[in-house]
Parts: sequence; C-alpha cells; structure tokens
Amino acid sequence: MITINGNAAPVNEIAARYTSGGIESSCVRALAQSGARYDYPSVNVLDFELAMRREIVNSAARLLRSGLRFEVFRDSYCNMRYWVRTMDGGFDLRPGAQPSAAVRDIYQNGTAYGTECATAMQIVYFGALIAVVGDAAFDRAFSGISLMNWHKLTRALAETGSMRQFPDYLAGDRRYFANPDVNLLTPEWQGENVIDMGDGSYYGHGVGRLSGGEIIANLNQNRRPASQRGAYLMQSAGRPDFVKLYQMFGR
Amino acid sequence: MNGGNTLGSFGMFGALDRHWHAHGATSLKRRFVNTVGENRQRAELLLQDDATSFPVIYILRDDIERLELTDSLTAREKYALYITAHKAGDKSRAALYEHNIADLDGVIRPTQDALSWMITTGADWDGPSAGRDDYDAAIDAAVAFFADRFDDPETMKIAAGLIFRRNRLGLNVHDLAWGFFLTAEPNALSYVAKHLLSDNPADVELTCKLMSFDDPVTKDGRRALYEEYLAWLTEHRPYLYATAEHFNSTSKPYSVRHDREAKFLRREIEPRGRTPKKPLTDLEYQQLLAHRANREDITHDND
Repeated sequence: MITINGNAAPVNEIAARYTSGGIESSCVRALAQSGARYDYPSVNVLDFELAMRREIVNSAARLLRSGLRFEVFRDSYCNMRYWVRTMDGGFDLRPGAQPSAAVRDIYQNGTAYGTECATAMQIVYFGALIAVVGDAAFDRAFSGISLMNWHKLTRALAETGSMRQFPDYLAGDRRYFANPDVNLLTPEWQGENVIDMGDGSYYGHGVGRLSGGEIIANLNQNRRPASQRGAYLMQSAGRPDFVKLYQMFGR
Repeated sequence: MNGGNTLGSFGMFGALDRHWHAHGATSLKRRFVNTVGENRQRAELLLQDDATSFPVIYILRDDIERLELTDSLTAREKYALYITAHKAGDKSRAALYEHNIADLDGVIRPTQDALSWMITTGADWDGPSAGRDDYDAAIDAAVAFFADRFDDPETMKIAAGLIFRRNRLGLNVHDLAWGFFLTAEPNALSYVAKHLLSDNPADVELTCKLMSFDDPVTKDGRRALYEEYLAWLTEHRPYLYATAEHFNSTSKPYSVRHDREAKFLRREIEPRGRTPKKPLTDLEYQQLLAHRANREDITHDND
C-alpha cells in the first residue's frame, strides 16, 4: 500500500505516467499491492525513488557493457587521469578531476578499470545519481569520492552498506548472495553483490547478468571440498535513503 | 655462506635468514645457488633447517624449482609454496607440490604446523612488492585456513598484529581480516579489541570498523568499552559462533554473534558450525520448543 503524507496514493494516476512494464510502473504496482505500508512525504519523493531505481538498473546494464574487469583489490587498477589508486586497492578521485566525468569514464572506458563486486555497486549508484540529478548537482555534492567496498562509503549512500530485511524486494535493490562454505583460497567468491534488475535477473560484477540460480551455481563451484552448505540469496537488501537523497539535491 | 659451517639455528634465525637480513634477497639467492653447486646436500639441509622462515623459502622458490630441490623441502614448506602458487593462479606451479601433500582423499588440508610457521615467520614482511604480490596473498590465506580450523592464541595474536601493522602502512587488510574473523575464539577477538586502547587513531578506527563498535571518542570511554567487550566474551564464550560477515557484504559486519538458544539451554556450541557440541536431550529439546514458542523474535540473535 502506498500513502502520501498518510493518505492513500492515487496509484493508477501515478502508474499511468510511466511506461507500462517499465521499472517505475512495476515498482509502483509492487508497492501498491504489498501488505506493507509505504508512506512518502510527497509524490515527488516517490517519483524520485522510482527514477533512481530505473537508473540504478540502467547503470548496472551500462556497467556490464563497459568492459569493467574483475580484479581483487590487490590487483585493482584504474584510469590514472581521473583516479588515484590507493595502497589498499581502492580508487580516490584525483584532485582537480570533475567527479561526474570521472565516474562517467568508468562506464565509457571500462577496460581501463579492474576492481571487486562491492566497488561496482557504488559505481552503479554514482552513475544513477548522475543520470537523475545531472552533472552540476552531482559535482557539487561529491567533490571527493572514494571507491572501495562497504568499508569506505560516502555518507550520502551510507544506507546501501547496511543489509536490512524489507517486506518487499524491488528492482534496483542491492542484494547479496552469500557463499558460507567458500574455498578459503578464493575469498573473492565469499559472496556476490548484485543489483536486482527487475526481470528475475541480477547484475553482479564479475559474473554478469544472470538468474539467481545461475549465480548460486557459480558460487557453489567455488566452495571448499566436502562443503555441506550451498550458496544462497540473503533475505535482505541494501537501499539508499531515497528521502535523504531527494532532500540533499533540493528537489 | 658467512658462518656457513653451522646449519642449526642461531637464536631466532637460521643461516639463510641471517644472510637475507644482512645482505638482502639478491645476495641470498646468489649465495644459495652457489651452495647448491658446491654442496647440494648442504643446501638441502639449509632448506630443512627448523629456523628457516617462510619469506626465505618464498625468495628462493624460483631457484628451488629450477634446481629441482622441491622434494628436499619440508612438508610445511611445500604447503606454503602450494598455497602461494595457488593464490597466484599458477596451477602448474601448485602441481609441483600438491602430489606430496594431499591427503589420501586427494584433498589438501594445510597442517597447523605449516600455517603457524607461515604466519609467525612471515608476518613481519610484506613481500617484494609491499602488498601487491602473491606473498601477502599467501599469508592472508594462511590466516584464513588457520582461523578456520585451529585455535592457537599465540599465532592469532601475531595475525591480529599483522592486520594493524598493514593498516598503519595503508595496505589492504580486507582478505586478511576476513580470514582472521573465521574464528570466534575469545582470545583472538580480545587481541583485536585491545587496539581500542592504542594511541594510534588508525588502530582505534580500524578496531571500531572490524568489531562494529561506535567509537566512544575518549580514552576512558574506550577502556570502558574494551572491558565491557571482554566481559561479554567471557559471559558468552560457550555460545559464540563466527558469522563470516565482512566488508564485502556490509559496512557494519558482526563477525561474531552468540547463539541465544544455546545460552538459554546453557549448551556449548561449535563456534564454526553453530551446532551443539553434544546432542540435545529430549527434555532440552522440549524446553527449546517451549522457549521458541514464547519468543516473538527468535531470529534476532545479535547483542
């Protein structure tokens, strides 16, 4: 159920503004049909969340096509024109570089970059924000960016690092496939951070766009000998605080 | 080799290690190759010296393989080079060692001796590329294997120290910390928590991140938190289990939790499998069912 400021939302009216079968309309439908109550301070905030979810999915698809390589942090690399590789394998925005241009370069010159799956999730969020709020607003908000795993996370996206249970899982959610019996020689297979693409598939950096079963099969191939526990999709998600982001960008 | 007619250890270091410390890696390799040419048996004994360290074997491994001395290595040295080759993705190199160290079922299970040796003799060096090579990756793997299977507090203390030393240097600690927290052994956890009391802000910050503490900011506050944590460990010791949560999945990992049901029953659990060490009695099982029925939230088991 969707409410706006405590009142039932005009769901049909909202859904009609979006392409049938698209990310936004399917999210509106899922929220409206849920047994849980989703309250928004305004329709604009709901629209912002829907736009962000659409662009998270689009950014994940673009990142998949970018040629971004999978590398463990020890072997990570980046385009030094825009980024500085830190000694722990993360990437810091190069002083003087334009934040939106630096993020866009990852999508356009993906083969110049290699990193782990958690970093890719942050690149997806930044790409989505640029698409929704534009270069100028993005550059004002993110004068410094550090890309790594959930250990280093900008405050604006802090909530994406916390996995929480939700009544419903939607397109654009960050999910996690855990591999509890991972082979200790390959800790990079301890789990896969993914974006829910809204069509039953998930984008995970390194594995590509696959069904949940296919991702689990990939992880299961990297378990320790005689493992008794298979990989599984955790019943939780990491979500940006869309209201906070909406307010942050003064929309 | 200087002082070379003695093959035993001198204090902490063997002859090969002393040469490395005094003259560097290039000189060590040259001297070792010369020794093989002059007296192969003597070279074999140098490799087998109890006081020879993992870094020295790592530095000499190209020469050891080229000069066909792999069969002269000790079992722990073979394990170490197997892990190192595997971490480098070099399967043909790993194959040089695996036929010697696999168990009867074909599975390689590094021994406590091998892992402890890698960690204790290898923790003070970061490899030739200071954190960007297969040496420190092998150390990370050794810590993971060790934490996953063994409980020697002294080795874990060294591993904990390595996490913080690397962090102070700005090097990557993630795989190392992930491996370390495969244990739920209270002494090992307390070694990490003790860094709350460090004068180095980087130590305190990392401790808080690794253990999901909110930094109390003041020294007194940190000491109080540390003592509170030790008390929590003592109270929950029999019920602790490792979750393997890490920064790959969350920004606030709870690497160790306690099993509330085990605590309710006062039954010790296996920290690595979260199963009771002894099967429950029928009475305990009935008590557990009643306990579950009385609890609204049986899944939230984190303190």
